[in-house]
Formats: sequence, structure tokens, C-alpha cells
Amino acid sequence: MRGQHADIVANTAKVISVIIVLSVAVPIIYVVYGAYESGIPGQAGSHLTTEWQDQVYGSGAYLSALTWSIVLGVVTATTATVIGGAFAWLLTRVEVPFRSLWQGVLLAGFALPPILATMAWTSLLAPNSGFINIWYNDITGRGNLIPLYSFATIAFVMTCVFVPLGYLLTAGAFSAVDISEEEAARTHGFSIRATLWHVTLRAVRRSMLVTWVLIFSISGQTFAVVVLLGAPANVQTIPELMYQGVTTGQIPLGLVTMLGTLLFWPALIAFVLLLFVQRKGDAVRVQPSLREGRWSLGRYHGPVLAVFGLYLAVSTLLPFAVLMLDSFLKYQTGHLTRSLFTLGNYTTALQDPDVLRALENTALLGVIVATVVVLLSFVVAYLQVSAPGSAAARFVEIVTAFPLALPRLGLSLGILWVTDSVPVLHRWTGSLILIAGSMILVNVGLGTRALSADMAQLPRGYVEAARLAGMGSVDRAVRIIAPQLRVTLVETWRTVLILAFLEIDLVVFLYTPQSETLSIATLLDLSQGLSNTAYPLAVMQVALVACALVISGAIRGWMRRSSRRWA
Amino acid sequence: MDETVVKEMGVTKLAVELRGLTKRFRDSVAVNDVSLTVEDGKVLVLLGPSGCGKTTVLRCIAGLEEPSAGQIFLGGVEVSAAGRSVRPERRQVGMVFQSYALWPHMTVLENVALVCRRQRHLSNAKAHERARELLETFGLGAMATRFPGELSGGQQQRVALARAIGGSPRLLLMDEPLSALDQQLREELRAELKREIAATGLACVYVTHDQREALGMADHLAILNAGRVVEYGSPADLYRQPSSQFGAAFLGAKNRIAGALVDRGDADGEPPTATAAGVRLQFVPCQAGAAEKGARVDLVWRPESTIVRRPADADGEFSSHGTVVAELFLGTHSQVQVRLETGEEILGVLEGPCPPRGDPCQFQVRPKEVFGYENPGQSA
Repeated sequence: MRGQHADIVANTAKVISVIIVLSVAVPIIYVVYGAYESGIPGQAGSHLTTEWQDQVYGSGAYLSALTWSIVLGVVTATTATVIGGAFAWLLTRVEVPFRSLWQGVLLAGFALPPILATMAWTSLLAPNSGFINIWYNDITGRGNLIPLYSFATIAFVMTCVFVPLGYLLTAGAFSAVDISEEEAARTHGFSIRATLWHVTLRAVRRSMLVTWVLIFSISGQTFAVVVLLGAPANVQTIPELMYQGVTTGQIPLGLVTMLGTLLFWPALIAFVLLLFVQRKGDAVRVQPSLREGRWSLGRYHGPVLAVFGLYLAVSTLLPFAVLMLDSFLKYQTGHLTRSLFTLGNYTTALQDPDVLRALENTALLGVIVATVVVLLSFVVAYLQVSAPGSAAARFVEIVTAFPLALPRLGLSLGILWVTDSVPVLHRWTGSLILIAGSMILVNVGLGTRALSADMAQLPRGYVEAARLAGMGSVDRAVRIIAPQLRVTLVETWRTVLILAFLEIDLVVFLYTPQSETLSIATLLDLSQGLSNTAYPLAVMQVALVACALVISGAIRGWMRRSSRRWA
Repeated sequence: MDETVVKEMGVTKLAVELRGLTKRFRDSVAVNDVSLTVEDGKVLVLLGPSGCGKTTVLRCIAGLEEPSAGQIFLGGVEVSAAGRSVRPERRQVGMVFQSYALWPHMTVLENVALVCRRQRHLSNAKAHERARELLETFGLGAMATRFPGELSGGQQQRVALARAIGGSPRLLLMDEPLSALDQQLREELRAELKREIAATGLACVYVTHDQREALGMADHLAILNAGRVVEYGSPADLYRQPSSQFGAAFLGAKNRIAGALVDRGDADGEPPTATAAGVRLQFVPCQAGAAEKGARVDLVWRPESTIVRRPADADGEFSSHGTVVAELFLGTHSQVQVRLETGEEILGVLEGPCPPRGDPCQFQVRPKEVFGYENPGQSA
């Protein structure tokens, strides 16, 4: 009888979801608890107090920081979604030469997380010493061209960081638009621009909205850019305040925690919006296009490609080049001479056991987190797709989406409180296992999203034929579904791997010297003015990402070639 | 009902029995109180327009949909009732899907062998051996190492059938297996498919919306409309005397005019007569009960039952008149649209040269091929 021998895979997904709920709920509870404690929750001498609540919510002292956080999030989300979406349109719907190269350079932007991007732009725009400002002054004698320490530059850096994500999240929707719909518009007198506005964008608007919400949520929690550029620009955000509070001790921990609760409100709004938009229009699940085809832009071809090319050159290639260059300099300066170049920075870094340990930790974390996330996401996506609309599927959808929207600094702080307060968890404090578990927690939602979208597109006849052939759920998942999704599995693995390599927001409160990662090591060296080692560390992170991209690209290419006979 | 592997019960007369099968989807009823049986070795064809519920019936039998009410028996054992059912993987049925659903990442041999292994619990080697035998039977031995995407439509269809019977099922289910093919291939494969199904000796439930395919494949034919069975019987019986207007129309009777009974016929076999649209027609009464003179009857018949000629070529039997509206050349014959004096239009088959559009013509309707149905909703 159905129900007595329930689906193993579905039950596993439910268990995973319950674990996620507990893993998220408990730290959040501790964050709220810690926000009303005078000291570390559970420790001797600590008592309940509303002092921090009065300061944060009652006094208006942090209203400015909250406003900057929201404004920065809105600006970043809007620009990254628009530019990322524009690239998605260009690379999926327009005849473009060397498409793979464009995609490669665009996605290479993932290797420039906030901290590395900030380092690169600091080298380029530092007052009186950045390359661009020095060259401008040398040519014109008019001082600095672009101020580094300004909200506009901070927003520009954040945009460059998040455009690749904007592209990734919208490309699927753009590629799924049936070209027949656009051809119908063109046949009836619509120009390319009118077709784009009235047909294409209307078809992808929900996907664009989901993208905006996700980028708003993630960017609003990012602290690294503002930590490095915010003070001289008089820009202060909540994540930056939290980071300074914990690392310098100038702000009481309870106050830092209460500040963290401020981040939950925009995150909660973003999460509700995300669920609402997904309910309304299958924002993530897109149907395959009936027919493929791309447009030629005619006389606008050259200028459009030139604009996009210039953007990529400025946002991705230039920062990479500068990071590489600076990693070989004895000290940071805009006036280059041959004697400044040295391999000593790399020699020093690679002989430092702390650096080697950080490199090893980063690689290990990345591989473990990516592999576990892909496995868990597959199981969860299976439940979502095999029982759409069921209570279990909806529960799982909400549970896996929630950590995506959560502020990682806040979650990180909560996890720290939990391990500090609960004796049986003390042994895990600062461990790689704890960090890996936290990364898995926040990335399962991302993996589930990618896999469920593809899984939903598989002809249901494949699974039904497998059921009639006598295959159980595990068999069906392994033999029938997984082979169809192998390219997506590899791509998801690659994406999570890169995110894990570069993760800093989640790690910054949880690490110890033994579990330090490259991103933390880079931040620490920068904070201490050790740019000689900071830049090589940055290049190492880029190299790790490049390795991941190359290896995963090779695997994907092999898979695509080997499956050509299937089509 | 405990869930057990459904076992063969020796010689079983009924391979499938549906009792009051009902399936609701939110606000709509896709299958409404359907009761049917299929004997061992026989083919039951479910025929009907899109959305009539025929595929839903098939999916309920397979266990891919859970009935809202009613029962399903396979080999005399209950496998489905409201709120409980045996899972699809335990029902021992083989199914050919409309899209074939061949696993694209497996070779033809692997597609069949996997089912042999799972359903018959064979070792890998024996399953491959069995699969090769099946493929040879279907003339696909040379295709064993190819992937489904490398095969033609007809070849994929045969692989799907080989896979369906590879697990030694008790029942074959076929969901419009020829609909994905072009017209010519469909006609070529129809006879071959019937032979192959007969060779398996299995009971088969076959779904189609193509009346010619249904008539050719069926031992028993059920016509569905809006989730209900409106006709059931042998193809010949249903074709010669469909008991409902819907059934008649679905089996090709596109001509329909309302008439009035003028002669009830007699016991010696003289058929009843009605006048309709100024034409006097004898017809086969397709409903029980004798209508009174003057009662309204709907007269329904197939275009091929009407012969149309130019007035100059017509003899005494071509006593009905009309005007040519259009001619459609169909290769083997021409179909003519004729407007009657009262404005109604019928279709017929042209004999001889076609009169120009708008010109008069004469036609004859074969009496035993006109079906009459009482229309109690209107008075004479």
C-alpha cells in the first residue's frame, strides 16, 4: 500500500530540510538572545538587558548605517541585474562571435569577490598613487581623475562583483524565450528594441525580479568593500560596523549582535518577495524553447559589442591585470620601474606555513562543500520536482530558500554563539567542520534552485517508464535522472566550489588560526598593511578559481561530447 | 489491501477490470465512472478526442495516477482503489509511451536489458541475452549499440515495444504509440504493430484518437467522451450501428441533419423513413424504442455513403437535389460539399465530373448507412 513503503529519496529530503531548519533556527535564536545579553550568552556575569535594543532601534544612532546598507544593496542589485541581464540577452539572443570567450571572461568575474575587487581598484584609483590617477595627472596635471573613496566607487566595485551573478541568474530565462514569439513581433513591425521591451523582457521579468532580490540580499550583507573604502568616504554600513565591532572590540558584542538583527529585516522582506515572485510565475522553472535562434543587430552590431567589450575590459580584465602586476611589486606604487619587480612576494608567501595551511584549508573546504551541496541539493530537488505542490515540497522550498536570504554575518555570529554557549559543541568552535557545515547550509538553496529547474524539464515519461520497469526511487534518481543532469551537476559543483573558495562573510567570525582560509588571510594582511603578501594571496585565490573553471570546463566539454550521440 | 507483488493466478479470463473508475483533477472530472474489462490476449482500444480521459484511464491502470473512486483489478487482483494502490513498479505492466520515453543516455540494448533485469530479476548477462533476443525478434539486432537518438521514429517505436515486453508483463499499455510518426509511416506500422502485439499473447489496452487506427487494432472498442464511455463493442458493430450520435460522428459520420419520422418501417425489415431538409431518407434506427410518426430524428451518415453526380449523369436512384459548394480532391476520390434546399450542407463522394461551383447536382444516400437518433428535445 502506498504510504507504508514511502519514497526513500523523498524522506531523505525531508530529513535534510529538518536539519537545515534546526541549523538555521538555532543560530538565529541565539542571535536574538545574544542581542539582549550584556555579554556572551550563557557566560557568567552576563545578564539580560534592553540597552542594545534602545541604542539600535530607539536612538537613531545607526539609522544612517542602515540607510547606507539598504541604499548600497538597492543600487548594487539594480545595476548588477540590469547589466547582468543585458549580457544574458546579448549572449543568448544575439549573434555574437566568440560567444564562449565572452562568457568565459564574464564568468571569470566570479574570481573577483569583493575583497579582491577592492584591492584591484585601490591599486588603480588610490589618491595620488593609483595607476589611473597617476597617469591622468602625468598627462593633464589635474590631480586625480576618479576618487576612490566615494559612494559611487564603492557602488561601482560592488556592481562589478555582482554582474556575473546577475548574468548567471537571468541567462536561463532569456535562453528559454521562444524565438517564434520575437519573430511574430518583428513580422508585425516591431523593431529589435521594441521586441526586446514588449516581448523578451516581459517574458523574463520575473526572473529579473528574483535576481534583483537575491543580489540585494547578498550584497547588502557584504562588508569587505566598505571596510576597506568606507571610512574615508563617510560610508558606514551595518555589516562593516559588525565586522569592526568583533575584530577591534570597540563595540560591545551584544550591541554588535543587535546590529545584526537589523540585517534580518531587509533579508526577511527579500525572502518573502522571493517566494511570492516564484509562486506567481515559475520564476526559476523555465520551459525549454521550442526553437532556437538568434538575432543580428545589423548596423548596431559593432557599437553594442564595443560597449560590452569595454565593460568587460574595465570590470574584469583590468582588475585581474592589476592584481597580477601588484603581486610582483616590492611595494605598491603607480610609478613603475624594472627594479620594483620581484618574485620575492611569492617566495615569502609559499614558504610561510600559515599561508600553505590557508591554501590547503581553502581547497579542502571548497571540494568538500561543493560535493556535499551537490548531493544534498540533488535529493532536495528530486522531492520538489517529483511531488510539486505537495506540503513537503513547499516546506523544502521555503527551508532551502531561507538561508540564501539570511545575512551571513548574522548567521555566522549566531553559529559562533551556539558553539560558545553549548558545552558539547565547544570542540567544534573554529573548526573546518563547522565552517564547512555553515557553507553547506547557505549553499544548498542555490544548488537546489539550479538542479530543480533542470530536473523539471526532463520528460516525465523517463521516470514513469523507469517506475513501470520496477525501479525504486534511488535507482531512478541514480540511473535515469542524474545522467540527464550531469552537465548541470558539474556546473553547480563548480559554482559552489568557487563560492566556497572565495567565501569571507561566513568565515570571518568562525575561523581560528588553524582554520584560516586564503580570503581571511588576505583580509588580515591588508588590514595590517602587508600588501606584499596580500596580493600574492589574492592571486592564489584567482588561480584556484581559474583551476576550478578549467577543470570543470574540461569535464563539461567531455560530457557534452560523449552525450552528443544521445541527442 | 496489502501491497504484494501481483502474481499470476493461473489462467485468468480477465486481464483488466475497471469498476466505476473515476479520476478528478481539482475542479474537473477527467474520468467519470468508467467500467471496462479486457480479456487475456485481447486488445481493447480507447478512442476519443483530446481531453476525453482515455490517457488518464491508461495512467490509472499503470498506477501513474491514483483514482479518486472505483477499483482496478489486474489478473483478478485488486491493485487500485480510492486511497490505496499498488505502486507502478509492482504492477507488472509494460507501457509504450506516446513519446516512447526511451532513456537517451542508454543504448538500445541497455534500455531493454535494464527492464529485463529489474522486472524478471535476471543477472546482468542473462538480461542482456534476453534483450538481444527481443531485439532480434523486432528486427533491431543491428541497432543494439546505438542510442535512441540515432534511430528513426519507427525503430524507436519498436524499441519501446521491446522494452515494454522485456519485463514479461501481464498487460501491455500503449499510449498513442503511432502518433509521433508521419502519416505514411503510421499506416505502414499499423499492421506490423498489430501482428507484434498478437504475437506476445498479452492483453493490451491501446489509446488513440485516430478512428482508422482504432478500428484496425481493436478486438473491442470503447469510445470516450468527457470522461465517460459512450460506446462499447466490437469495431464492426460500432461502425455499422453506433448507438450514439457522438460515436457515429467520431467514426466518420460527418453529415448530420434534423428530420421528422414519416414511416416507422415494418417487421419484414423495411427500414424506417424520415424527411430531412427536403430529402427523404431511409435509416437504421440506432436507439431502442419505437418513435412515433412525426417525431424528430437526427440523421447521421458518412460522406462515403453519399454519391454525388451531375444531373446529366444521374439516374432515377439519384432523386435528391442540391448545389455544389466546394470540391476537395483527396487522391483516390473527390469529396464534394453540397448545399441542400433548406440551406444545410452535407459531404459526399463525387462520381464522374464535378459540376462547377454553384451549379445543381444530384445525390443518393445508401439507406443502410444512415443512422437515426431520436431527438426528444424538439417537437415536430
